[in-house]
Amino acid sequence: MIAGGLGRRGLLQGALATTASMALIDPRPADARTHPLDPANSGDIALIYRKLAFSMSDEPGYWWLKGRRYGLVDAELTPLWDMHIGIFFKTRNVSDAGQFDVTSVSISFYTDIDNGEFITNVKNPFTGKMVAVNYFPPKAETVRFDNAGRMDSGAGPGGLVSSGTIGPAWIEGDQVWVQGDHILRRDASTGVSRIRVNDMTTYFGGKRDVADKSVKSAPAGQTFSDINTWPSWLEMGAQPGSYYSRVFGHKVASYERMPQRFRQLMLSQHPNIANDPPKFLEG
Amino acid sequence: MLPQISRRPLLAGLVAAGTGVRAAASTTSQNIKSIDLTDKENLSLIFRKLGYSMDSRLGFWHLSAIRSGLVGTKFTPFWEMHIGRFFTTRDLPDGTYEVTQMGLTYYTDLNTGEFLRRFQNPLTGKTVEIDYGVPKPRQYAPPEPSTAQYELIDARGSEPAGARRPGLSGVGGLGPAWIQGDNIWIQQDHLLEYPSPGRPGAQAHVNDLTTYFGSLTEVADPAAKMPRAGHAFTDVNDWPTWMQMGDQPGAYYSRGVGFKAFSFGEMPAKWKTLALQEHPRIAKDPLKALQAG
Repeated sequence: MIAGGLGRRGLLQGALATTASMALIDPRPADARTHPLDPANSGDIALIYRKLAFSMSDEPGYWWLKGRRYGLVDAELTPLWDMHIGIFFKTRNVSDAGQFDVTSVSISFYTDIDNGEFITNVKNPFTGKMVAVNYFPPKAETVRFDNAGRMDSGAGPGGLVSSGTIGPAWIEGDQVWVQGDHILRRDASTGVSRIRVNDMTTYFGGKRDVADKSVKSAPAGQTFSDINTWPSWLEMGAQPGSYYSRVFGHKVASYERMPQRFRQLMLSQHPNIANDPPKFLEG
Repeated sequence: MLPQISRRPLLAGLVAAGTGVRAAASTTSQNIKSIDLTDKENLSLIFRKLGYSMDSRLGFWHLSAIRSGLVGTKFTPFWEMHIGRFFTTRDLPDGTYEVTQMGLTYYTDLNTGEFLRRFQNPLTGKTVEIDYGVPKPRQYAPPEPSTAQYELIDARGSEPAGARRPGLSGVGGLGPAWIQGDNIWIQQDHLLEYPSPGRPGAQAHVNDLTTYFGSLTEVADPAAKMPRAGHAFTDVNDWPTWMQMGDQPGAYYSRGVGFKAFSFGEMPAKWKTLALQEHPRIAKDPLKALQAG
């Protein structure tokens, strides 16, 4: 059985809870050095997610991601560009029941598939039009999580409805992996376009690292894909299809361990952030 | 025509470039990071070592995934998939290689974990019999690398003549691949279409999208014939006929992650239990089952 009930009833079972509260509500034998990891337990799923995706400490962490963006039309993938992504984050405990905040910023750069050059304009192969790439200005955001996932689910700014979940998780041998998804939806209405964003991430790492209480941020990798409506800046008009990507990456403990190409692009495009990434997370 | 993958570059390409195989055995990821990932021969080697093996021994893959219905952009989870496949590779006299593999797939209820033979389709309300198909070994030659654009391939070449689905065509291939530090990963896709058996005049689509990942050090080591590896898998397909979806729009979508295993014993306990229960003859001697084909 996989991790079913990701509902909030599992909140108090959270493996993220303090030792004191764990002793009160978790009937499993306590171990001073390791967390019990049961992929059917919502608290354990939350722990797996936090240790793989983020950290149990408030030290900043970093993800690098590399991959490719496609247009998916009639089951045919058209490569558009390569993506170089960096995510900087830090976490903060909020409650003994396992709630925590993640403050993060995601910064993306697109490069030409053939020559590797940074692109600010791209010729849309579906329309033939040259369009300016819309790189969102980097912005640190804080999201609160509990055992069920993101707590900002529901209606948000701009009519966007957010839904974030964590799990299921699997453990096989020393491998552990967990899904963490975020969906944004907005239906079309007068003067408002329809938006669908399906961000689907699977984090993976070593069971021993995740279970070890002394390891605050488990070494981890992730695979990510999204299936979205076209962004408005691509000027797709009525073109059917989806904006699809596949990326792969790893978590690293310092900015200096981010890929050289990403750091080059950071220095050229966002030198203030590149010179002190943790400071940017402070807002 | 079968895709041609020369074996010569497998010996002389990626790890040995300019240094010879012996030197490459002690090479670290630090000094081979300049590997040309636009070189199709390198992509072939990376794929074979991550996806399969350079020798003929029996290998395994497991995959844990969730199957969902994707209507619009709303996902409706259907069941958990426990997938195991096992394979051998064989070098061919013309320098190519072929893969013989077999897969055993089982679906379980998302809430109870029980093995499913029937499924109550939440999109139609109907209870349908699950068609697991009959497991049998298949031989195929891996697709050609494709570095920039998806290239047309003769998908029929990937199946023995008797197993070809009439009218099957598609695009796909290997690549791109990336290296970062000691991480190496490569995409392998199949985007196929064939006349829909359930909707006369319509085409059915199967899009299998896989990313294999592993350690550059192991892939670059000639002594590591079957490096450790993982894979992330997604498919976006038309509904299978047995689900009796009628005119229901949407896609049959799955997503999972799994790892290469080196023996039946290393496979997930749930899959082993189901394999021994449902296909005991195959589970007790996978190599014999492959050779029986």
